[in-house]
Amino acid sequence: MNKHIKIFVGGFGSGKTEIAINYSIYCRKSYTKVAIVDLDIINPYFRTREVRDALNLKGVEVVAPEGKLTYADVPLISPEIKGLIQNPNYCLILDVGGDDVGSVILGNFRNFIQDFGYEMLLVVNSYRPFTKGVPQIKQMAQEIENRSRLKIHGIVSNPNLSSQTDEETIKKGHLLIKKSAQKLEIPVKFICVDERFSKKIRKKNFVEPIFYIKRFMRLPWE
Amino acid sequence: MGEKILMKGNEAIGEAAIRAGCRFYFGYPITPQSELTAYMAKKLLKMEDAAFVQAESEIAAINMVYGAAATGVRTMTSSSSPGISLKQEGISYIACAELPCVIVNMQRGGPGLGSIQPGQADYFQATKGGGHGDYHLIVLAPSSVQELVDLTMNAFDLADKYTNPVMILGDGLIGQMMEAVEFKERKKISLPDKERWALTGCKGREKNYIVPFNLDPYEMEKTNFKIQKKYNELKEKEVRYETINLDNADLIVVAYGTVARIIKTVIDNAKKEGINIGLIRPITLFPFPDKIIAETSEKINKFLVVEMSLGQMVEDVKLAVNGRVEVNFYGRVGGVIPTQSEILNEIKKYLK
Repeated sequence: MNKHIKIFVGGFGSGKTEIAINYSIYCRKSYTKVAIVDLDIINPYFRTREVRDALNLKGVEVVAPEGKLTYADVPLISPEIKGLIQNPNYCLILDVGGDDVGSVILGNFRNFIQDFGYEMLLVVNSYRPFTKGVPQIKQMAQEIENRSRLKIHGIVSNPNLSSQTDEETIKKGHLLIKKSAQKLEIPVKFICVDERFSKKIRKKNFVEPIFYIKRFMRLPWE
Repeated sequence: MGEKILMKGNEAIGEAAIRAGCRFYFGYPITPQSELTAYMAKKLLKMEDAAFVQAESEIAAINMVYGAAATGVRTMTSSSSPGISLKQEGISYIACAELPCVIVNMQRGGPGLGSIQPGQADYFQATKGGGHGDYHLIVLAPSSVQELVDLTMNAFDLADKYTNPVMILGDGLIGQMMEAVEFKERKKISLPDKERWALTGCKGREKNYIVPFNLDPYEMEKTNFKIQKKYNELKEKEVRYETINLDNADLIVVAYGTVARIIKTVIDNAKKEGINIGLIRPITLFPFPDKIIAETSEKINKFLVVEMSLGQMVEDVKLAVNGRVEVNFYGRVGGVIPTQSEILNEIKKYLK
């Protein structure tokens, strides 16, 4: 079955949105129709919808509350999502809100998602307070699976300290995530590295594929 | 040195408060500070001799803080603009009863229900009392997540030292953004004994009373004078600020919190165009750093205040320069953050 639905879940603040945005642009290379769905009902700031224009330019459709509702903090679910899930012509990226509470929303679409085949990826940053250790990461994975009633197929390793990240941060953090993946018996699909390290961190440093991330969410002083 | 972790501003306040010994949190969720309430729930509910209560309202929450503070424990509440308005009566009582506590306001766009994006328009409310009567909060304005951590820890010490409520005045952006932080070992400082006023059970000692009123106006006036004395002491001893590039600046910008951070980038950009900008960033908004502003105005005659309000802190800057120099103002409101380029344009217009 063609798994045209990619779901990014993970702890609150694990980096799902930036990864989902980058991944949707990457998917555009192999699919003519790519849509990213902002399913974040948890976060009031730094959401996919804020970079709608940049994504549209790259040929990625953004499904998120529009107009006056762009900045609302209400759990809005667009009716077109169901249609997109059922449309095999689309490569669909679902950017889900953080923690188990954020993934509750997936339950709503569970039956359709299962019918059409999906790949659910757990984004982990081992420098976040609630995913700092193997048991915590395991707990996070279980809670998200329980709430979404969907299965996690892979882990996206995203070890970083934002602007204070260095090569050591990435290597050390990735080791812990790898250990967790082994415990969970789930493969690490890829490791995310900020594009500013693209010269320093190369494929040979890791067994897993490297996915270079360009940051879209900017702070007003950057 | 502690390990570095990546935290949202709101989470970082929670962790800092717990490390500073806060075990009693009472709050009611509101965007954009709810992560703090959630963090306290996650942590405090697992701890012994600790309490987390999601109260039925902000009014209830501040009065729970009042009760907890009366027993001498470290306690905290948090909210965002409209919720802070609801707490004002309780805050006035706490200030009158001279009790220590920490109140966090992650401001959003106002007035009214406003918007959920960041704002700085609660400056008057925070620094001029906010509730009824003559009182002040000690008001701390962080500009990064690390500073949020450090100031939250300081806030509890200041509250105990002056038996006065302390407010952390941030905004939605600083609450929501993520930065690497470190929780450093803190030096033990000696703080006044709470036994002289706390309600801890009076067996074997004189009774303590927590009283936010006195029906005899002459006695009530004495209470006012006593509290006022602390504010004068605060102005003498606790003023904090950061300065950048005050010598040879063409213009001085006064800004705090998120806006000050944008100004720092503007300073770098302007330098490339041959414009020298200096920055005075108040860290304590009460007590306000008026002396450094006054001193600087003797050397440099152009001041610009930038705020996410329509002109609140600018009044304190004008008082500080006392008519000596011109003070201009630029502000965006309602949840809109001023951009680097619009601030630089404003500066260029002013310097023409």
